Amino acid sequence: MKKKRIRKVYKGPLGKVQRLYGRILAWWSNLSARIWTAGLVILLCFAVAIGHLADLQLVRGEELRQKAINQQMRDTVIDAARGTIYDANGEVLAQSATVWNVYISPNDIRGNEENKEKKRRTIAKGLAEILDMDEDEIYEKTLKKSYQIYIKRRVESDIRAEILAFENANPSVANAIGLEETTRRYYPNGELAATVLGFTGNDGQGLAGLESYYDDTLTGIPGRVLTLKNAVGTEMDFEYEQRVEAQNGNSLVLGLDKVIQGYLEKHLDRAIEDYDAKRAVGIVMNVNTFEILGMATRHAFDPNDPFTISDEATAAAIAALPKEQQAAAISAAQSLQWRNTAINDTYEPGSVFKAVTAAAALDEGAVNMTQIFKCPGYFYVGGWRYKCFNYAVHGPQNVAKSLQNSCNIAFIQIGQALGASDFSRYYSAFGLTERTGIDLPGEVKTTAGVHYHSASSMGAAELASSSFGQSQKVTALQMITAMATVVNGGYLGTPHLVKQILDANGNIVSTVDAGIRRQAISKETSEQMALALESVVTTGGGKNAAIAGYRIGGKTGTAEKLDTDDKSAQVVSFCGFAPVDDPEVACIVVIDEPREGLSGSMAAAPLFRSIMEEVLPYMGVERTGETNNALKEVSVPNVIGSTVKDAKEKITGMDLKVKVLGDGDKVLTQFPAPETLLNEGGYAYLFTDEASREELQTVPDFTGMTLKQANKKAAEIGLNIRLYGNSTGSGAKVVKQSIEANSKVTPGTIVTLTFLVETAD
Amino acid sequence: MAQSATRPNGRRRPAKKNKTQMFSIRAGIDMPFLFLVLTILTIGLIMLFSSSYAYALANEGNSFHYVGRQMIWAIAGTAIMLLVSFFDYHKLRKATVWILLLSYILLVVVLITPTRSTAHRWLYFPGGSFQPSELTKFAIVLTFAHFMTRYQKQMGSFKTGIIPYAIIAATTGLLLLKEPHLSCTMIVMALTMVMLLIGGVQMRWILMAAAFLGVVLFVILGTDLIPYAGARVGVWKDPFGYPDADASHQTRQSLYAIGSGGLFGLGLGNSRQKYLYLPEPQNDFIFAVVCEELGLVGALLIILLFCALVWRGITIARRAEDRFGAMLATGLTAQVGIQAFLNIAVVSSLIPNTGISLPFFSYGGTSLVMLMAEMGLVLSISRNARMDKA
Repeated sequence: MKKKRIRKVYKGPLGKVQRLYGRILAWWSNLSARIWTAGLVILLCFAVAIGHLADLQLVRGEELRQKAINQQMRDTVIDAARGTIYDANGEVLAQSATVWNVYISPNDIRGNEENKEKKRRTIAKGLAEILDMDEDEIYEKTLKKSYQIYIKRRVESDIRAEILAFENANPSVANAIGLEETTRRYYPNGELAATVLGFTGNDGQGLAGLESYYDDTLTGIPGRVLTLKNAVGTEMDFEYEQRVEAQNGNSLVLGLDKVIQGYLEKHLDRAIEDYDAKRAVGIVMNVNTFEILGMATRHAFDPNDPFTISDEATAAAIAALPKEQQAAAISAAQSLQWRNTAINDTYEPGSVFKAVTAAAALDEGAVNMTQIFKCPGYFYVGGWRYKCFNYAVHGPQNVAKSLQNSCNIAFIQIGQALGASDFSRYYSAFGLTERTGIDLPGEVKTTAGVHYHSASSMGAAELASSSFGQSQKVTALQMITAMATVVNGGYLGTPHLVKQILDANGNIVSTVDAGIRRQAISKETSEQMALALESVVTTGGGKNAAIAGYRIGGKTGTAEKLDTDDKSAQVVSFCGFAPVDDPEVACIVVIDEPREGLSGSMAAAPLFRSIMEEVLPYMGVERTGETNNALKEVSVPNVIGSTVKDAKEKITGMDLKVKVLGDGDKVLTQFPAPETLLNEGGYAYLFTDEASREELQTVPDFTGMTLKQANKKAAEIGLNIRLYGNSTGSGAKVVKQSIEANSKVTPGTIVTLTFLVETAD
Repeated sequence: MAQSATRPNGRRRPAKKNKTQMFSIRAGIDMPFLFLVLTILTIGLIMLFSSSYAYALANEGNSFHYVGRQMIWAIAGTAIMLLVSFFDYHKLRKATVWILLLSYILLVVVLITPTRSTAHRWLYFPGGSFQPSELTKFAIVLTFAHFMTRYQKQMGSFKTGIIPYAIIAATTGLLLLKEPHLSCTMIVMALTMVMLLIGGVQMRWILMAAAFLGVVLFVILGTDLIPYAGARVGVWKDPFGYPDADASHQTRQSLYAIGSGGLFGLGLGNSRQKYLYLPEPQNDFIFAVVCEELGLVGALLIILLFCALVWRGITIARRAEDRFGAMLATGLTAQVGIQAFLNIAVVSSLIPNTGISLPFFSYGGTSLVMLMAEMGLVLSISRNARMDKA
């Protein structure tokens, strides 16, 4: 019937479509055709699926693959061992040791909810006990979705052992607790050289000092392990691991000597206490190699625990503050204690600077050693009246004498002879307008108009005050570098702490030399200056820096602080060197705001002396013997048990005096103890019976006595005294005694007397 | 009637030649179809092992847990297939009503018996479980083939050609939805469409149904007119941006796997996603592992094997000796094809996610044996078909 309709009805051009429709219907009536259609529809579906897959795998493949890899890859960093910092003798100053970070992986806490909860509690309780932490705090962390949440960083191996034991005891939670090996920085000497060494942060990165400056060198290159992990975090059972080994950091060998640093810090600390100073800075440097042998800013901090305020008074003051102010106060105190004032701050060099002015003028030929400068006690420059310290009138002086007297008037004239332009040229030549280039972060860059007057802005008044060091600011390191240049033959080098860099196997990677930048003055001028500066110590304002047996040169300085509201605030300093005939080592000490009335010659020079008195013998600098005020020291022989007669003979044979107490025949005990060092002619007390051991001596008051008076007084009562400071200089007097007057002490006790020469800068 | 069924293309073929060919082929089963089934089955087993061993090790403590069992079922299934191929499929016509009834009963029983999962899909018996829906799919195909053959003349009418079948499909579908078993419902509906199509309903009903289905799908999937289309649709629209990461987890992991494969794949056994990222890598998402390990090339090969199987099944159907055989072969072949397509479409997020297994690949004993038995039926039909051409 259908076929009939097709043939009959549709004709004409429009009929074509209708005829086609008819044919389709006819075709449709065939079962085979319908099956074919059904099959085709299914195949078409597959075609669509193929197209879709091609889109996913080819077009979007990279994007999806990346997402897949992101969830599959575990990237573990292998820490590179941080390099060690050694002192000049190979002593360790900073070293890294292996410690462990404790973390948990909450995603690895598996099981049903009830089991998970139990495991979380087990973990929290166990770790809280071992790590001495709050259980709830850890429990909160177990609820998070993560593979790594740190619980505690940097635990030592004993804690690690406890955690491993806990894991063994609780195997069901073991895979959710992780220990990650890392390193911790140790500074075995505590505060020693803290501001130089700096410290490291939580991730082992250097945050201050050498640790920061040499961070890249010390750090090395961390390695990585790329592993594929399955969804539960364990490694997949087929091998896929890409390992890039860590390259351990290089080590630093410093020119700094732990022993010298120790002396330096010890005496700086004492000076702060003795002089009620705010801060004290000191540098010891080799004047030829420009190696820093010691550099300290006190008070410092403990780099093992850098964030704790080490100064107890400051810490107490902060604790007393209201809560909201504490954070800021702590932060300020931290910045202060981390500060390496020797390079991060400038100060007023005062008269110490006269050494530079004199050297410049001599070198330029503006003045000569025999030229005489008159000091009537005042001097007018551009309408300003200048005077010397304490209104002193020095009269006529040559250059050396002007230095000895530290005469401002003479130096104004020397400065005028040199002229502003040459003054500025030498000022730059001595490196005072640039960074010294020391290998430490944050060195101040002194700038014209802020720290000194430039040649163009230097009028007569500026030149005058600059000539005697009252119109410029330098860092302590700049000053000692300039002083080294004055005395070492005129060579300006580059001060440096690190003298060698070693690789992880101890091979030398690089060596640092003196880094001579230029010759600022001639060798002849330098030699003249060394002698002139020696005369400052022997006969001038630097007498208190003199050390028996050594030829010391140096210059004192007392300056009003330029940028403070406190008009009386001063900074006193001394910069000297030894030995004069072949300068080897220089030392600068700067005392910030000592007690009023203390000058460079009365506070800084003795401090210099205390330091160098230990440093020079330690360094093996030979005593010249030219100064014969060195007293011979004798070791007390052991006479315990021998007869009094024998003992007496033995001791007197050693150029010591004997005092026998009690009525016994034999020596029960002796004091000072055997092998104690006594000055020649000192007293050895022998106790021969029990009663004698109870006897005591009264310490007299030595204060204000000269050496002669003190010796006499000591001889009167048979007291042992030890001399400290310049005791032989003219006008040297006792300023301090180690045991208070009127104290009762065992006979033979040694009282140390500190002498000081009353002298002006 | 028999004439048109046995010789659908009779017009283009001389009767004489048909007769001689019919006799010669009658003796054997269709070897290409058998070959395709066994090839797909073998590849399926290999991929099942590759995709499941990490999952099996983690969850069952034995890498061979799934593949070992599946192997046994595959061997048993192959034996059953060959056995069924000797069976005279015409005898099924007498059992049709009983099989349909059994299907209904089991669908009701499964709803009222306690379940061990969230859905009432399995009937548990000592030593195993059985999904009644596997029987249902077969029952639908068989029932429709039987009745559409018997009442061939009435197929042109809406009342007698569509309504009765629609009622069977609707009631079955409702029971399946009640389980709930959405994917099986979809397959039953698709099979109903196919059977109605080849059963000879008027073309306009098919076109109207297709148009209606298209509009419904467009409204649900393509527009936001129905605000609550469910998480599945939300995930399907934006698998990486969907706020509920747990809901989109399966889809995302599957897409990662497919994308990782690229053109040539990571190599057999080298899937990373199977390491517990992909949920059920041995079952519904096995094809994602295939894509990851074998790449687009491998996936294409497997899809083409399925296409070849469908085409060969269609060919067997077109050359079947009678209308019942033709319809039965078409229905069974379509069932495999539709299910394979839907699985691939779900895995690649071409359609929203609904749990659906990949024939011959996915782990599951009863469904594999059932499938193999059905393939045996197709082979049985091929025995009596004129397989002279290709």
